Amino acid sequence: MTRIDKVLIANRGEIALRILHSLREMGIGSVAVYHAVDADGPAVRAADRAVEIFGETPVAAYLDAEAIIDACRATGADAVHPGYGFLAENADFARKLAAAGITFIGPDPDTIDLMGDKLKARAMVAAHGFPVAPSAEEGAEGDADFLDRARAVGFPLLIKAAAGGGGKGMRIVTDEAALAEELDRARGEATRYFGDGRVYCERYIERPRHIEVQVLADHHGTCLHLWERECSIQRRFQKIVEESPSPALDADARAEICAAAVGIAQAADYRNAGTVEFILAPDGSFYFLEMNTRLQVEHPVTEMITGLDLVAEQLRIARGEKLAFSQADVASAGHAIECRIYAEDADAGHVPATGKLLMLRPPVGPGIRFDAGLVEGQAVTAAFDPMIAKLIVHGPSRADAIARARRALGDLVCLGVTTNAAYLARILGQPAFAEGATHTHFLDEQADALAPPPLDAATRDALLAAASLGHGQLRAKAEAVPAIHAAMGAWRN
Amino acid sequence: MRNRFVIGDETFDATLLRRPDGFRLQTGESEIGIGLRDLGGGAHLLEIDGTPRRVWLAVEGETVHLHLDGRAFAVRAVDALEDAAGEHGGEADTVTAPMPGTVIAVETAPGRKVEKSALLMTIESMKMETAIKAWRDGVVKEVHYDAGQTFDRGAQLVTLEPQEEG
Repeated sequence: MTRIDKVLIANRGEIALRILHSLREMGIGSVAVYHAVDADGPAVRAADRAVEIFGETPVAAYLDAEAIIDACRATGADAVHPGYGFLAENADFARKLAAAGITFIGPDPDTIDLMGDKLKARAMVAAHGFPVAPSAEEGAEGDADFLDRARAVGFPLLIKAAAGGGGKGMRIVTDEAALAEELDRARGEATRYFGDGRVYCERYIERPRHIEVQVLADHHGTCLHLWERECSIQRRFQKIVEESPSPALDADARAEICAAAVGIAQAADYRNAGTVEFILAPDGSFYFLEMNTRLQVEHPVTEMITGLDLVAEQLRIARGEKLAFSQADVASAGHAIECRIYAEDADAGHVPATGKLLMLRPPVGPGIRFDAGLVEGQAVTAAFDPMIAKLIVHGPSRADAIARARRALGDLVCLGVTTNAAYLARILGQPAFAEGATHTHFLDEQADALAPPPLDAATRDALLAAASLGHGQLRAKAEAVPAIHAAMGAWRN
Repeated sequence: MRNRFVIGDETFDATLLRRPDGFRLQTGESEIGIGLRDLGGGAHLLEIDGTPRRVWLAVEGETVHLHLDGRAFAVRAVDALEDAAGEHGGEADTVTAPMPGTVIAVETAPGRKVEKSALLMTIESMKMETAIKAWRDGVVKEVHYDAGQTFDRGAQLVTLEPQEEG
């Protein structure tokens, strides 16, 4: 058994706070790290200790493995939870921690390396007999016939970074003439983001669904699935609505894809929490996409239907404990939906929005969870990913969950920073969404229906009235008019 | 008091009148009786001709941020005079950021002559790279950001020397 008495959270925002909550429930000490721009963040206030980290940019601070290891030493933290993003899938960081005698809460570094290299991961998965989409991979430098092999995959095709993930460096190519140029650009992006310019081309499945399976594996040979999540509602390859169960799978298909995920995780000798992602084609066939070797943004969806605390399970696994339940014990009760609240103008091409959060009133009520990483008065800057919060709802049925999510999105008051909350509510209000007819280009396909409604006269009058009386100076000016003139006003002009 | 407001890209005039029995608001089309009661914590009861509606309200400078019927709005009070002046001052010789992001690379420097379409800067926003290219032939006057720096939406990125007449 590995002792874990104090965990350093190498992350920020909502996920830092989320991890903190589980640590507190388990009676484990906590250390937050923060860049100066996050000094007012809720995790800094809630953690037992907080250590400032520095960097040329705020992001660089959270990527500074040495500084984080130093913070562990300085505070006596014996484990690190990386959250998602930043160092979560950095095998070197995990190795450095191990060398320093600090537990990395996640899989083995070799597994991170294997699954982080999308080409190796695909090859491993295919070798074990699990399905992967038709593809072409770039060999050594100056691979002359790569372009020909890529063309042979057929159009449209997807260019992906071998070391990529999360939609970065991904491009759809529909036109053969643009292939060479798009490959160059994708290589440039891949080099910049991942320090690895290798790319590969994959057949693009039309109207695909994104289905992923949550897995948990302990150090005693047990690997379980925690059911699937459907994450087809995406903008720019980024998920914005996730749900479980998927409306696309019947019981048999569900069992099959979940079993495949467990098989792939076992083949990778996986430990801790992970997610196996698949593309589901309209004909029901599915293909391995990639495996994410970390806790995911959308993990609360799984927590809502299973009643499990995934962060707590990660900690128990890292301590060397056996999973305390079997596959048959993992329930899938009701339906859960997560909506990612982004600081962005969804009606203007999802342009990130910045500003000061003047007011935040999270929705409340039965079956509603709101994971946020910022508090009123904090500034939302361009320094980080614009996701500022997640709304997760649970209901007895999918229709109940949709209705609850729509209500909660309407009740969410977030002023000062433009968010996509109303856009998310419109997505959930689409008849096609209610029917479960989702695919990864749903938002483009439904763009007209998702446009904001025009400002009607009654709303306009209400806004002008509230602004006229709500703005202190305007109201004061009107009040400064002597009452006698005010009384005369109607027939004076 | 006549006030001018901007909601989205539309401008509206509304005259706020004080009467012994409360406030009235005249817009181009209508006149309505209005009232706003502070319920605390940002919640307000807005009354329009006696019909109550719940709104949430936060004021920031000249902007009133409102949450009404599940949607958030920003209503900006503008000075009618300033509004008229603003229509003239153009900044045609500066490229501004269409969205917040980070400068990946600067490919030019002040004083350098550039031809139309020459690469000036590479920026990254929303996990995508965008090339900022010269929009005409000219001379670079100023590069406003260094590589690695982040910028907000609307920030000036690169300025060219004013174009010579003729």
